[in-house]
Amino acid sequence: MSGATILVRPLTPVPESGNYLTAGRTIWSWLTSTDHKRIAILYAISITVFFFIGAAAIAVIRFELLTPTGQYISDDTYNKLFTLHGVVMVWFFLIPSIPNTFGNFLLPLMIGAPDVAFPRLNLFSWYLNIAGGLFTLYAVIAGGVDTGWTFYTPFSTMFSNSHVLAAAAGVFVAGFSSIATGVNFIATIHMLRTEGMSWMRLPLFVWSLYATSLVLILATPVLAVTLLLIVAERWLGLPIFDPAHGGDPLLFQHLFWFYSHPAVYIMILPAMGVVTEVITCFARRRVFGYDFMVYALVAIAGIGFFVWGHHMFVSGQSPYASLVFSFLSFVVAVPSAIKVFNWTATLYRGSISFEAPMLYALGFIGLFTIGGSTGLFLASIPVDIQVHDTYFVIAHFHYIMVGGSVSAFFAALHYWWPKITGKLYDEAWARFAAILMFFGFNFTFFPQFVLGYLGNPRRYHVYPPQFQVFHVMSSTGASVLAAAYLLPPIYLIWSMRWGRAAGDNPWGATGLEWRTSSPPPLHNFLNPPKVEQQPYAYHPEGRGPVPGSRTPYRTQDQPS
Amino acid sequence: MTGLEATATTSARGDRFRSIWRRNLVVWLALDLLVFATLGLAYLPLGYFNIAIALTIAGVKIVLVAIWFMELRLAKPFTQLASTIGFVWLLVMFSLTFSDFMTR
Amino acid sequence: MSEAAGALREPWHSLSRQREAAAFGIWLFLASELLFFGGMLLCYAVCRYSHPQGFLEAARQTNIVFGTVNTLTLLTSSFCMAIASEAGKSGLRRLAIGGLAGTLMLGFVFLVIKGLEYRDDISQHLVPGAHFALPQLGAQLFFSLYWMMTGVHALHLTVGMIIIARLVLVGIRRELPLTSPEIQVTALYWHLVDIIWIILYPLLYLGGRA
Repeated sequence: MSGATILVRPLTPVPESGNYLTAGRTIWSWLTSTDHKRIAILYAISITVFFFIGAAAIAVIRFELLTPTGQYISDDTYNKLFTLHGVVMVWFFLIPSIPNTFGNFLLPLMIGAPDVAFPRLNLFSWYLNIAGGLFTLYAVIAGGVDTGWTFYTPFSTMFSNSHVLAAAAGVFVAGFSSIATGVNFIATIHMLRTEGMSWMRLPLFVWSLYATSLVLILATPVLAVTLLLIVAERWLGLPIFDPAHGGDPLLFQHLFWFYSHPAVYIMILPAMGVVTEVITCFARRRVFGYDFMVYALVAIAGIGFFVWGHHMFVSGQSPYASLVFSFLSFVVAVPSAIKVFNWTATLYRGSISFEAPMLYALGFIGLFTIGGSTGLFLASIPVDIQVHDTYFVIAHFHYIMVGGSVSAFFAALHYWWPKITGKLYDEAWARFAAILMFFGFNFTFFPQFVLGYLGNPRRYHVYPPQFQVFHVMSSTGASVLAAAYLLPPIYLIWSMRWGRAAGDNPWGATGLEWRTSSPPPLHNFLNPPKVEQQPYAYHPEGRGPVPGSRTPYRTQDQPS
Repeated sequence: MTGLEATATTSARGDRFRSIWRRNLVVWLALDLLVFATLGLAYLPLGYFNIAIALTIAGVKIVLVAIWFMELRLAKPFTQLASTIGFVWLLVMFSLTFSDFMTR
Repeated sequence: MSEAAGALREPWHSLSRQREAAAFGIWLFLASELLFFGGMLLCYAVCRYSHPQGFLEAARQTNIVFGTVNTLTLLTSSFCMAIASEAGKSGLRRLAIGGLAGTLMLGFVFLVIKGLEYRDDISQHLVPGAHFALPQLGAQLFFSLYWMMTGVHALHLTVGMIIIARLVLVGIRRELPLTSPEIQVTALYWHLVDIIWIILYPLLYLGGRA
């Protein structure tokens, strides 16, 4: 017996005709699979279900808001609906959306690994997400929660007569799903990169997942403990934020926003990673300023932790602290702007084609810029005092989270659909849906900037009649947006059955994921790839792309 | 950081046995001394310094546990960095929150 | 080398890499745990800053004997755990299992003392609510945080004990490859439980004594 210190397990031989979809066809095999690709699909199904629940809530609200007075639902139901919309959309749709679906599916593929670092933890994270979701759904079915997704005290701890505990428990459990994902991704990126995949050769989507994972690990536990303290005060009667015993409700807000501001960066960083992947491919161009794109991602993740007080400018927070938070909020816009400039410079002199993923990615750039710029308005204290808790804020964050993140989600969905399913979707319908979505989105949310500026508060069931025209525009836009969201499921599912076979690399892209079959085999690569190349080598250095070229100059595993 | 020697000779095993005991016992004794020190100092009326000293001693205990019991001294540099990031981030949380409470 | 082969898991090709990844992963998780407790520490710091007198009056009421004995108990359990972890890596099976068993016993001692302490606290009306013993503003805040922080800590300790108990069992039954990262990962978790208590001890027991 040699007592070898290194043990090497030979790669499991892969059957010629098998892929990850065919390896086990029972539901049990799907529910117990530790294959990152299957777990990604499990997440995709669950986030879709939650998306429809959150969308149903806002559909009722937007319908109700067609008229200035409450007609169809009570005030109480209204409060419960916008709380449901926020809780479900933030924690059960947006936060897991890109990282847990496309991140899970693509991260090992993009770095040439057979799976993530801790595959069983990966599966467990999905079950945590589902368990949290079930608690939250119980809260809804049992009668709902009316505190808003922000759970502000003392209303949530002392005065609300709704199912705060169940909802808090649901989000608490789901938080551990996030932390597990963050740990898994960081360990994977550190330890499972294939030979030749150095840090500055990583695709920017991988870097975006790394930055996101840092936020997941450091921010989410603070949310968990904050929810626990709500449970302690509400259920166990332990005063912590209660002013009557010397507590401070603002302490709750500090703790809550310490998580919830970085949480929005969890939602946008992976989206930014997707946009870089798509833009480089459909402009056939190397990304402009790769190094600064990396620094910007990490800077956004880091500085994003220092700005939370901008949610509290009118709460009674000290004006000196508000000044500090305001200044830092301006600073955090800089790396985001760098990314927008670099995407623009990447497009310049590119050989641009307008497939559906590119339409969504271009939409992202415009909508994210509008949303981000209005963030600067809000970072300015005098302006915020005017528009805080109005529709201006709602429009701002929907431009970023929906115009930004959801657009990028659809870009990713279309870009990697051929890889995940091995099928091509119908490009004409996809382009139509993308353009419809862009118009529907703007009709829904641009009027809300005007509403907020004119003084329409948020979370109000009724509004002054002079605002009705904007609400009607917004609700009409929302119906168009809903139609645009319903189209992709139809033609995508259609393509799974009747779509053309995609081949390994239908877009002519450079990443490692395109160097294996579509769909990939169970262990991703028949032979572990060796990286020789920077990412996005769509054309030789110093020269632009050849117009109309669909073959990459070099994929990441081809030598220069 | 491997040490996966399952088939060493008896005397080598004995050496390792003793060195494991010795190293950790020394750390344990140091930790106990610090507990008694902090306990004793708590009874001295030092005003605001009481909590500062107590937390400093706690900090030393934590460093001892981390470096010796948790074997941070043997870990990869990146693991060492990961071990400190939690504390650094707590500092961020504390300082910015107190920037509010201390200036009201 | 069936024992070692049993420890190797997908997607790893080498056991040393797998161990490194497990240690790295658990350190990341420990960072998250530190921020978890850190939220409560922030509450403590803010509340103490706002109500120093109330906090010191309340801190005087905690049982310093129980607290100190528990601190020493937990430090010794960490000592046992460190021995177990190093013994595991060196292939010293009996020492490793002995260390784990020692940790388990001391963890049990901690919980027993905690139970006695809680019983005393309750009988002295140190539970916030209608019959709370102290009138000062901030005293109830202190004890809310006392019950939350020690309670959550005790829960973490109990989870640790369950994991260690399982390790002892599979270790005795020789189903646990000593080369598996499980002992090392569990040890790191246990040391964090100890570190949390090291921070809680001065905050909850040493205030107001002078």
